Amino acid sequence: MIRKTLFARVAALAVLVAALVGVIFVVFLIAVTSLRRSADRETLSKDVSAAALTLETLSVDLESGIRGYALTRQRGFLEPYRQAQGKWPRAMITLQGLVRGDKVQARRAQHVDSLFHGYVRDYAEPLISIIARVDPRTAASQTSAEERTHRLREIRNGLDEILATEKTRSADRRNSVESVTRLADIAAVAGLAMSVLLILLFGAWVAREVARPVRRAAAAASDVAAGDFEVRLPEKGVGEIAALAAAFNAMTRALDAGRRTLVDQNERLQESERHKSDVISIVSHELRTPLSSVLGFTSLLLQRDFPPKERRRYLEIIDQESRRLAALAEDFLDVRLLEEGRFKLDLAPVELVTLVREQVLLFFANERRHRLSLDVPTQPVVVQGDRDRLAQVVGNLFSNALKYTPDGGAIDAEVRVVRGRAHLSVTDRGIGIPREHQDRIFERFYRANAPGKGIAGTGIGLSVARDIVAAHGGDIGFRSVEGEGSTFWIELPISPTAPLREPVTQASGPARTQRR
Amino acid sequence: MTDRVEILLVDDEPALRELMKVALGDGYRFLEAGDVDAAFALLRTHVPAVVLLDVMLPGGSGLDVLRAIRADPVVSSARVVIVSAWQSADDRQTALELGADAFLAKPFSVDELVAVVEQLVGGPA
Repeated sequence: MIRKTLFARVAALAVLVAALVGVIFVVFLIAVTSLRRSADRETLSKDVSAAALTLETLSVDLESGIRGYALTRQRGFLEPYRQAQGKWPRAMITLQGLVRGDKVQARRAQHVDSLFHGYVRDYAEPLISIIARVDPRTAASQTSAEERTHRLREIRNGLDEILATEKTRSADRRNSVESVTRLADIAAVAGLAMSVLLILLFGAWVAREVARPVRRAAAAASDVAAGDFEVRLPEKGVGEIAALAAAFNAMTRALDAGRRTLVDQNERLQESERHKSDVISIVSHELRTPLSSVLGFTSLLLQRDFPPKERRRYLEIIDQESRRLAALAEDFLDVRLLEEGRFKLDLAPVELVTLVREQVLLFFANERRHRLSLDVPTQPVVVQGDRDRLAQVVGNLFSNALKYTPDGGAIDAEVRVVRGRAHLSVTDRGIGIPREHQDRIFERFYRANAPGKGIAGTGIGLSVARDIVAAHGGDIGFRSVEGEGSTFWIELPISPTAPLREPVTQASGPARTQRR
Repeated sequence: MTDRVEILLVDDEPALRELMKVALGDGYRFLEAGDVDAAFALLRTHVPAVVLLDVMLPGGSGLDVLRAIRADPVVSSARVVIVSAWQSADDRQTALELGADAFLAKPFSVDELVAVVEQLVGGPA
């Protein structure tokens, strides 16, 4: 649909009103012209009638002159006849000149003229000469009165026809002028009424289609000024109004988006602040537990005397907990190295199965609550990597599996070669990771809902593991269902050169280690 | 020996349980739990005079154990000392509102631990 613009509509209305006025003007012009023509015509008709009447008078004079002469035989009585006969041609020329444009009247005039000449030639002149020569009574008897009257009546009739026709013409003209003026009146009134109606309708339309949307836009602009960026205008109506609404909406959308961005940034900043304070809290908490043992036993050893055997045991605990503190410090150092980009790998061929077995021993040798099933291939799986860092990653997966299965239970570990890549997975049947936390568990210091479940940790392990695996060109991932457990896996490219520097410890059958 | 006062130690760190035992000495009989379930199991058969209770525990929160103790008329006489590494004012407030008798923050001083326990045991039973 082509949206009509306000400009187009106003222009169309102007053209329409102008056309109406033009039509009225033309009608008036026609009326005035025909009035003038009618007046001219009337004048002409009067002249024609006058000329015809003159001729008629002359014909009467002819008759009365003839009759007087016949009765008296005196020449003096013939004077009107002579005069009329002398005046006739000029009067006839006048009439013929007036009816030149009217064929019917011209023919009639011609006819009357020939009747006149016939009358003079065939009747009047012979009669005059007879009267002059003989007795008028004889003359009268020779010329029939009927014949005389007939001839003259014909002339009069001809003239009367001309008069009657002229009267009709004039009346017709008047009638047509009247109808034209009536039409002009009607056209003027109707045109004015229509113009007024059009202007009123246009006013109403402008009020509805322009004033109202503009008022709405003003109200919306006030809302925007007051901080409501979600206000929108209906994008309909005539072109300019719809365009205004669209532009307004684009503006509020942009403002809204801008504010959202600011709010988001602010939230991220606040989140980052909270995060920082969480990290401090996590670090301090993680340090407190081993510190409690170190400080407590040190204080006891300083205050009391213990038998050598016990003293040694307490010192061992202090040693062990101090190492834990050192390991934590190491973790934090890792984070720093990673974040500063100073993390370096010491690459060499590493046999993954052996490495996994070592970590199994480390984590499960003294573990009584959990049971591990290990499924590894008989062939060595050699990857190019930093042995200590890979051990750290594998250790982290085992440590998490234990930590997040607080009630104990089975843990499965598997090493496979899939499409030229070494694949290690560790599956627990622990608490799992709620869906809403799954996106973020590789974030540094992110602990999901672990603190609420009484599970200690720094939120460093997985984030560092991810970075280490990525530095090896590998992948790390997981599948987890809350309440059912998690499977974490890493995938590393197999080393193209596969030297067997490390013997595989168990070489027969699918290796399976079970510990209680 | 049943005349010795029973103290229940609830902490997932064996080293810390051992520290508490050594610090408090042979005058008490110690019950040990490494997680929430073990603590509940012991509370079904024993009525300890004092419970030293960690908050972050495998299988749940020490505060749940505290609630259970206060809700059970048989063991509600136990004096409970919360021993936690979380030590904001809020945590302390929550613990005291739930009916804890004392709050020790990790790392705690051995002398303070001994003093708090002796005071609770010597006080109105």
